[in-house]
Amino acid sequence: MDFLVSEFDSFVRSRTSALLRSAYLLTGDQHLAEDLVQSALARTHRAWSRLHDSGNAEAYTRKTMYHLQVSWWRRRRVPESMPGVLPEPRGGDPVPDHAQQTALRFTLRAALAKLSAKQRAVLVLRFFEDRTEAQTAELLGVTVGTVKSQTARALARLRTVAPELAELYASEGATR
Amino acid sequence: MNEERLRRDLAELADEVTMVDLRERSLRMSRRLGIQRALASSVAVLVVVGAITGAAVAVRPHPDGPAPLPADTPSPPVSVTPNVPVLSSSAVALRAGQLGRIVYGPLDVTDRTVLETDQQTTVPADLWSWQPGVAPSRLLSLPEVAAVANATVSPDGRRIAWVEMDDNGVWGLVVANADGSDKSWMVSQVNHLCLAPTWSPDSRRLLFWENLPDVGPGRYGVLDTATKTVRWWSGDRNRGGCYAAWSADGGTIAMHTSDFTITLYDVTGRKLREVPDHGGFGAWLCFAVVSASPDGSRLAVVRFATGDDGPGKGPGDLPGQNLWANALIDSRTGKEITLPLGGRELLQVFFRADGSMVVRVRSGHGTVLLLIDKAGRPVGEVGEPTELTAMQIVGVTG
Repeated sequence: MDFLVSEFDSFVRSRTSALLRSAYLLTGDQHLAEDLVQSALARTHRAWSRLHDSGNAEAYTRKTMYHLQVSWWRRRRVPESMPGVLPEPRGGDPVPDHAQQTALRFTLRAALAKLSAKQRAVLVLRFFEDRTEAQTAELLGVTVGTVKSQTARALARLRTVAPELAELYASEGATR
Repeated sequence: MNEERLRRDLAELADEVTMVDLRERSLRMSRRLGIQRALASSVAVLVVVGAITGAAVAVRPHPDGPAPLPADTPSPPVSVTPNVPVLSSSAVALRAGQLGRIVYGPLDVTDRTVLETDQQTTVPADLWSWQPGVAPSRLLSLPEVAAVANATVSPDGRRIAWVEMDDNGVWGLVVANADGSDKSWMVSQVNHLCLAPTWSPDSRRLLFWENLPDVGPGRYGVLDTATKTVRWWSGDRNRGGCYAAWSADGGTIAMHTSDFTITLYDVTGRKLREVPDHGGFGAWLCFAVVSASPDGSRLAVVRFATGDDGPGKGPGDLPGQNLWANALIDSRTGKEITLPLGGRELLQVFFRADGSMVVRVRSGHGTVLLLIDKAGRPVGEVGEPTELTAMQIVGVTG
């Protein structure tokens, strides 16, 4: 097998899982996440001969993925592909059981759907991928100031659309 | 807000995704992306070689041709050292009118990431028109991505169709007169990189591909530009078709389809047949159908031997509309038809309504246009102006 082909195969096998996880948070949908990663990997494949030496393949793929997501979101006009109805919060038990945890995930997923693509991207990069503000800015092609403002807006929006989530996070934070 | 808890919940939410193997799907899409980039590198090389040699222009205008335009007529903004197109010693020089008008567009975008991320910039780019013996003239200015990737000219030369993005990020099919006047937005949600708007021989209808990325394969439709009504193709949406050519008799639309096959359809989208030995387990992978003979029996295509693709191989890595051809084939047998090129490299082929072909070849350090009659005999040839050799021909009219 051609060396470059083999190298690309290896890259796909080792990184698809991580890319899909991020893509799922960005899109909220299994099929959209697959489409997003597939599109980013296809573009990476086209550019592989110049990427494999630089070692920047993953950065390129992720950058492409985030830009595509923002672009697709704009084109679709209807931003919410995720369920938009927030479930009623469960009260009482301070220790989340399995059902409560499931409800919480559903709430978070629905709340993320209320954000713009760029706000969602900033949250995923900052709090899921643990990127710094500078790294996030570089990936999204915006300034650090924009990352800061988008992050603040995204968190504020989460508090607004899912106050029970904010309450939970705030109370947990207070007990630590 | 407790950011640690947010981190943990995001990680748990991400665990919901089901892992799948995307290798094959990514490679298939990569090949389709490669479609619009194939062979463009050969022209880029031509420009570089020309710049190195620094030779003089050798366009051979016919003495009976019309006078050149005034000196203040703008020229295409391609700045290269002049090349020398080498004409065959026995060739008859073509006159203005014999070739019709040749319409050119830019070969590449200023920033490649614009294509890779489905964006559009405010950078404009021009389409140009040329015929032997006459200086190139500017037609109209388009968004750069459209000029490079999808602009097409109607067979009568009067109108240009392209796909551009509006202020809301929606790609739409636009039609205007060749001078840019009477611009009209026709249809929204149209693919801008795979299937360029394809004109019917009567210059009235356009085949296009509706592109809704999050709802599965889009539909193919035939737009009547006079009434702005669309007749959607029925049947299998998942043709994966890109790069179509509509025969001059109106009866055949030949299209590169999924798995690198070539499929012939009628105007309603009914499948007529596939070209043998292309795609699947065939010997050839077709990357684009560029032009069709009036009855659809011959096709200009870009194809590669099976297995000759992948990173660093097969199609080049430059954009462009992929109107480059490397073979003329019989659509019934799939076999190659030899063209009288005099040993020169084939670059582009455009059938005309009378069955003759305008063929672009690399010759010496320049490019030459040949006129070949419907029987396959050479009629004459002419060198292209230096400033056009680094552009792609997007259509031949008249």
